Amino acid sequence: MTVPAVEKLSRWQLFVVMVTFELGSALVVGVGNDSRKDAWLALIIGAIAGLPLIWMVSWMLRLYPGQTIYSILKITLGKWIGNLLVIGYVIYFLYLAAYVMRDFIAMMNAAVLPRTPAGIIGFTLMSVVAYIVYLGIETIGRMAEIFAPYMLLFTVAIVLLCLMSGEINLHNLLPVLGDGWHPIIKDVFPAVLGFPIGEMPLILMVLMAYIKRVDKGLGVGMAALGTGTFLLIISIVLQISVLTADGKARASFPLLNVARLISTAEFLERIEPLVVFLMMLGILLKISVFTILGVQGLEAVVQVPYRHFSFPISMIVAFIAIVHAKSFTDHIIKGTRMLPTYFHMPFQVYIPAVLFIILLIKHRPTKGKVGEGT
Amino acid sequence: MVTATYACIFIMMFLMIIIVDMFVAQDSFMTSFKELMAGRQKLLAYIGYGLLASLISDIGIARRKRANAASQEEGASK
Amino acid sequence: MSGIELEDEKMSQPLQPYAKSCRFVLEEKFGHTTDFCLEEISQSGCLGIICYLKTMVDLDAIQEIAAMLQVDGKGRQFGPLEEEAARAYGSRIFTTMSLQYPATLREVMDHILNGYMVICWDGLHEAIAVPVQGGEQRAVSEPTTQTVVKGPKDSFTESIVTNMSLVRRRIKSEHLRFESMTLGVDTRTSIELLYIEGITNIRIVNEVRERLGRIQTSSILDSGSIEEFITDSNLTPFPLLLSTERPDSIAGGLLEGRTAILVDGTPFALLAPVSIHDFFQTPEDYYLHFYIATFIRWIRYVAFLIALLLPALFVSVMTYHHELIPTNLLINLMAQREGVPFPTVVEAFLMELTFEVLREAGIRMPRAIGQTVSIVGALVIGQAAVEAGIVSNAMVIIVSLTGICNYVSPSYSFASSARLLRFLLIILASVLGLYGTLLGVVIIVAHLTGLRSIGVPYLSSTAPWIMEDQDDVFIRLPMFLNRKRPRLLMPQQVTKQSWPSKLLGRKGGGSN
Repeated sequence: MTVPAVEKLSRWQLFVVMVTFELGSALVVGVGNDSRKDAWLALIIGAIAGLPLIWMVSWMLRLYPGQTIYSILKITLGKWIGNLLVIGYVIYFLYLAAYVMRDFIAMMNAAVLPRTPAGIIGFTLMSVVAYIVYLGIETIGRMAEIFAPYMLLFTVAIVLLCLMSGEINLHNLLPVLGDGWHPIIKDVFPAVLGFPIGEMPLILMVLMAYIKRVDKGLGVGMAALGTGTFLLIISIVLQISVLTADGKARASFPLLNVARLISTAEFLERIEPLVVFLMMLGILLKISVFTILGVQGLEAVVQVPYRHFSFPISMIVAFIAIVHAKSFTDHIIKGTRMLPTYFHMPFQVYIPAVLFIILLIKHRPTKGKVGEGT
Repeated sequence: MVTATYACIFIMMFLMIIIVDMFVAQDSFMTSFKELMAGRQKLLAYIGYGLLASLISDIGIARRKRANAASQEEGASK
Repeated sequence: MSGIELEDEKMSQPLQPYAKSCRFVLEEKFGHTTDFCLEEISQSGCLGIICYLKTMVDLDAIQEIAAMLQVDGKGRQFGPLEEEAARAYGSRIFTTMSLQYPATLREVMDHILNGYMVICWDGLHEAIAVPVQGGEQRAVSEPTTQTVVKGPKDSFTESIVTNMSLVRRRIKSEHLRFESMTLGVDTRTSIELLYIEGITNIRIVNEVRERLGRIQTSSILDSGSIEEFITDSNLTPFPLLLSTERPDSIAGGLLEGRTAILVDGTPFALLAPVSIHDFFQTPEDYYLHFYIATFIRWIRYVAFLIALLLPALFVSVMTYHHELIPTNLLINLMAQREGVPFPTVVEAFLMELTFEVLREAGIRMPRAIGQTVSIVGALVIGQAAVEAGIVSNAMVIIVSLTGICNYVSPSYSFASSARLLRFLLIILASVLGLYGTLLGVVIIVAHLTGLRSIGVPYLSSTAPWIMEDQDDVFIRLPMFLNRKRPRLLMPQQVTKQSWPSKLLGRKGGGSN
């Protein structure tokens, strides 16, 4: 009774994990910089494009209740190809964890702890992540549940403080569609769709297996996508209206720059570190989720409980996070040039789509059964 | 098993970031490797920690397995 | 080992119907201990023995029974009649007492050890145990650790019988169950497991019972030892069972669907399972107005956070993040630190440790001087240390505020966890500033989310979030709105009252 045999997430927990996950690093780094003033529009289009992805993923997981995408891959494509793809996913997730981690380290060095070596920050943060991963999925769900209200509160507080200090200038958003649809569409596919929208179906692929009623997964995913996008749009509108589109594009951490401009009531002059720490909660959760997705994949491949991997794999993530780019500029270039096309698209869209088609063909004769199951 | 997996994942990820760097910077393998690791030898301590942790995990798993087997044998003999 | 086993076998065989043989064995077993009394009685050739422990019985009662055994009013003999069974004999003589009939030597000895007077007669296959428990007891008095302003003022004592009656008098329901067991090979402490049939989830009761049954130890002297045996995890500074000396607290817990464990010899009973929020609640919350009670609850949460975080936050802000302090205050603080030779961390550690030492000394010292020393000592040391330039004034304020906030917590063991974790956070703060403090908080939260109390998640009602329970967590709704028992305990009967008539419409409530 001390440790339940099967871990379970409640639907609310899954929802909160997905929303904090989407906000986690998207609040820190700018989203949709290529769409300039219409970044919010790009986000809406991205979200709409994300809906079929979520539907596709939840349809597949509903066919095999209680199974993650990893076991479905292995069941459908056979042991060899399945395992190969699972390892691909593991590497992808761990790389994303490392990528987010690098964002965070850079932010810490820029804003709060300028003299602390990146290695120390990486080691301490990843140790905490390892502990969270060791405690398991339920812990992540519950931590998201606890931290989500604060993150929401903080977003609202920033908006209110900006309003109070009179920095918001909505004219910065105009004209809408000044450059036409073309740059927006180019930005959405694949950049915005890959990050942050496409990350939602990614976690749904694994975590949906843990909710009690799999048939509700689709609803949860849609709701989380909607809420997360809404909150992101608020933050983007805030960034653009305070910093202008150019300022936002130039800033490494736009929301931090927004916070820097806030000064109200003489007392709250520098709330910037506070902003950093609240963002840190989101980032911590995001890295934990990526890492746990990764070690779950490893569990599927080598059949060793994922808790055993938590510390070793976390150390790899910390290592990769610092080593993978020579400088922050290099890091951003890799993030914009490599990630969307060569990483996000295959793992978020192509592989699930192929799997979806295979499953669709496989389950056509028993269509009636599937219908009953839904 | 944990150690082996750990080593595999580490090698694969390390190769991956070097290949990514080769693509982006249009460098050769060795140049990328040297540039990425420049001044970062201390970070290999992480890999040491990870290795240690995975070895401990492996020993733990093996011991538990043996204990389980022993208790099962005992149960069977009774 | 085999010798002991053999002896055990002998002890658990049925009693021989000869008083002499019983006497022989008992005298051998108890040896020369002075409080063991064994007297022979004989009645028309029939031999019997009476034995008891002087230290465990009420000697007046023994006198009375001895008199009853000699002769009754009509001068009739009171040895067993021929072929009469022990039970018939017992009920003939001791008409009003709740007698026990031990049938083996082991049972006979257990009864003697528990303060019974045991009578064996020739020809009887069972002994007769008469309850004459006595000995010195403390009277029911006011609780010393969990005092309230408003509400019942009684508390448990060291006697388990008194404690049981204190609970029973509060819950006069036929569904209240006591289950006894004896734990500890040497102390043979009686334990009572309490629950309410039909309310408490049966799986929880089974789990607690099973864990109690697994205990194998030599001695149980306090409920604290039981707590360490049955808790889900010992690798945590947080208490996973609630220990209380208030009967109303136990009764309230039972009625919510928890189980309680009473231990003989200690006024502290255990309540299980509990969630973290139970450590921020007192029974007094329900005796005060609900808005006052809600306010006080919030004060407790805030005080706990201050007790946990304040020194760490101060250290990290003073060491790494000067910009967070408004300029005037910063100048002030820096001026105070002028001349202080230590970094803030050392200062904080120095003062915190001094405070902990004073606190411990205040508890151990003779009561008459204890309080004076702890308060005056803190003041004098604080003042003197500041004047001598060893610490800054601000640090004294921080440490004393922290100490006072620590006393707000209703549960001593829960407050202790904050005392301990505070030092961890100070270290993290001194190394990594606010980032380290926050990491520490995240570790604590992660740790808490992984804890369970008898299988129930420790952060229940918050994480996992249970909407239905929110009427009695951070806010306490008035009694008539608090209709359901906490869901986290999965009680068999969730609803405890129907909607009051005054809410169902004006027509129904004639009294309005």
